[in-house]
Amino acid sequence: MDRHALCYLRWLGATMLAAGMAVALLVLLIDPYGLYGWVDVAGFNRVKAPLARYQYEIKLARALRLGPQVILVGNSRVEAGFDPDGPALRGANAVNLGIAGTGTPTAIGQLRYLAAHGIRPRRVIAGLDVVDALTSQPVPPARAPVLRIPWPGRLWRLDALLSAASLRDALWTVALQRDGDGAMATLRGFNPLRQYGSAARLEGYAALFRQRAQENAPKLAARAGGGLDVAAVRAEVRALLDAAARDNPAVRIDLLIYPYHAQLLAMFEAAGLWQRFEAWKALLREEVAAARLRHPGARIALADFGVYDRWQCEPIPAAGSDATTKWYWEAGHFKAALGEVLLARLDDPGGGASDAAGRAACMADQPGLFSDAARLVARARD
Amino acid sequence: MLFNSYAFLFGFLPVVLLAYFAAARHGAAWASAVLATASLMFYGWWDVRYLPLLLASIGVNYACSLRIHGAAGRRRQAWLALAVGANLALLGWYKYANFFARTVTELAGWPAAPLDIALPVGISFFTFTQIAFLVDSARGHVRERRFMHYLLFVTYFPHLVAGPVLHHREMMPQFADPANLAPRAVNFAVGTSIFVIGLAKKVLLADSLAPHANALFDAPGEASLLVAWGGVLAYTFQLYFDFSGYSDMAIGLARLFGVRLPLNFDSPYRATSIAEFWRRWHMTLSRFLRDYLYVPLGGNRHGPLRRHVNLMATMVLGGLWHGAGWTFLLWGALHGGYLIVNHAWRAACARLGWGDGGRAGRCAGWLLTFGAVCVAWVFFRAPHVPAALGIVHALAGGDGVALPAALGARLGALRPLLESAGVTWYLGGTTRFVATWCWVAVAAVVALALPNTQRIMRRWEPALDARLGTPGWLEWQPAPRHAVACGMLALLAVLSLNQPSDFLYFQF
Repeated sequence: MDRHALCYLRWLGATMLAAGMAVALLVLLIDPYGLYGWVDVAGFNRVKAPLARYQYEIKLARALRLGPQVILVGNSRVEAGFDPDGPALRGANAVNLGIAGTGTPTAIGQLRYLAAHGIRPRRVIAGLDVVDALTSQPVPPARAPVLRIPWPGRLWRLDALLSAASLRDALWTVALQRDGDGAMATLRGFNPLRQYGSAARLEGYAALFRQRAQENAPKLAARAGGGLDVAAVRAEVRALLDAAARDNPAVRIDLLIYPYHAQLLAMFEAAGLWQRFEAWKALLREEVAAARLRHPGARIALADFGVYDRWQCEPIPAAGSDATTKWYWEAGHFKAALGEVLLARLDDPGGGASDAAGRAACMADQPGLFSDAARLVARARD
Repeated sequence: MLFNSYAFLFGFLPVVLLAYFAAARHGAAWASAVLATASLMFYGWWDVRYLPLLLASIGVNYACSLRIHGAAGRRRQAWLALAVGANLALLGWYKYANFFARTVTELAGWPAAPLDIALPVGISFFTFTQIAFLVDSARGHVRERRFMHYLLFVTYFPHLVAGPVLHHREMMPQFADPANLAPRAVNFAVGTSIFVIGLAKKVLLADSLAPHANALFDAPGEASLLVAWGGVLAYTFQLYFDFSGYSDMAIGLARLFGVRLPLNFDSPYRATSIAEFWRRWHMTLSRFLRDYLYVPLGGNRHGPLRRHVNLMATMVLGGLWHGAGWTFLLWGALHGGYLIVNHAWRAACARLGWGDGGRAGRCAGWLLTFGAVCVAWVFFRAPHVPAALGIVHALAGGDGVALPAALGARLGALRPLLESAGVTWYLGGTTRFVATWCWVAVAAVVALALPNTQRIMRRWEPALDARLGTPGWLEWQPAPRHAVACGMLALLAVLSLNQPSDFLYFQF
């Protein structure tokens, strides 16, 4: 019997070895994370699945491979809003390093890591989110900010090559090539939120806006009695600008305040956060002015899109309507079409309407938007 | 150290196997010493601070067992009472002091900070194991008295932190068996296969179900009927595959050393009565509670009323053994109540000559038993009693029936029918809803329709007291095709180990 058992063990070991090697080879060839570049065939693996793990590490590894001249950093609003292969950035060797759910410290880590590896972009575009700076509790005045910046290790590469998750992502990547509605991301890091498109066709944009507004209301209401983390904002913005400009004196840095849709701006108002929003903008302006003195060769600008302008006041289709939107998926996330407009405005800021006038126009256009926002926040407070 | 970690699988285990069989060439005592040392290292890996506690517990209990053995009559009983009392005091301090202090301060309305007592991992298991040893010493059932074998019996790493709860009668002779001192390919083939099945249960099923259960229990809110049932069923199967997977892994690991551990699970969710469920779920704990609690309390020897009181006491204490909290107490009380109802029903059926009701009766029995077990798991898992009651309310339909709106948009003509039946729609959560029910369906098929580990391994004495049953499909043989299947399963499980998670029973 031991002879059979020994044979069994040999077969078992050989199976594991052979199957393990097959998995690694499959992942290498399909390259779901765009790390190896051995094979790039349309209809087989050109379209990549959106990253669900090691986003920080994989985006940096790709950036090292591509040696970008334009770097975009920020959260999901950047990731889904700016297409490096779109008209404004095409040919500029841009990469989008935006990662959903992350804050400025992640962007700082990305810029520092690339700088340490000799990447000197001529332009950095960074999105900043006021929600990250708002706290649910009043902030102690002397709180010292701590910037914990993650740094990629090495073990993730092994896991990205040989793991069940990598195998699943590889198979998903192949399946994705013929799925026009499936979630995907480009090699340069843009996630067009294709799944939002199919959801919008099925349920309508009103449902998308409504759902996100219902999720946002309690988060904003919870911050009503809190404060603004001034020390953290200052430290983060300073570190971000320094990370972009250090050893890269002629860099152009565009900080941008996200173009929240009017529905979200109205919810800021309803939650009593507007004053803090303005104070946060003032902090950014101060830090930009200070950074210009520290880095006189750099061209540093702050673009404030957190206002009631015509794009931000795009009408929300009525419930049950199959009308589409041009600029927004929902109040928190704008489409790449608006990203193109914003990039153009960064190059040519021009003059916009005042925020008060924009708000008045928006209010006149969509009075229900403000009352709905107030109702949602009030319900979340109860 | 976790069984489902690379450090254990590719570091600790191979080294210990090599060291054990190398030492065994110099004699059984050396082999036992190596295995006991390795087991202590395994335990110390978690938190070395609790290693002295474990060693002190073992030393004191062994000394007490010698005293008990050497004494007679009332002195023997006195030594036994002292030793058991000391064990319970130790367990009580680490496990219940916080709960007791919290309860007292809440009742008295005192502001008080919680006591800073961390629960040493596995304390419930090694304390119960030793209490059984002491009681059997007093009953004169203990023959093997070598300290090294006692140390190994308590610390043996496959079972140390989460069971099965071992019995010295079963284990100590195996440690002394010279046949286990040489590596045997058949033990490796059988042990590895059982381990792989257990690992797959844990990594591929339990860990996949976990997020869907957590989504409900971490934020119960007002879950509607299907959301609540999805989350509760996800936890029901998560707990089963987590603990059953651990038990299989323990059984498989022990077999590598030639040792057979007792069976701990026998497809409990197929039980058609709650009494049968307890004969199939966590069998070694049920055996312990029966032999060392229910029977000493009087069992069924003093009439039906006393039997019901004993049953309830046993289950409530069994519930509290799992954790110090009102939810565990209620879980135990629920099962006590279920068992009492079950006994009363069986007595009524016997009096009326109803039998088991045939196929329909067994189906109804299964449905009722499974539903009752699920409801009880809500109390077992919920963070506090109000959350548990909220979920039970939702399970009963108290919060209505709602489906994701995206799902509704795909239902076509069925949608108005559902709406007329009172179904409403909620925004978002479609992926979670669909994934939860898909995983629940997969888990249900595996738990209810596929043969369990002991049936698969039935020809190879997979565990002590294994219920081998009749031949069935998926029966394991040391054949190449089974090796390929097992190898693929093993690879899939090993490739899924990148984020090893604790076993649920470690916290009990």
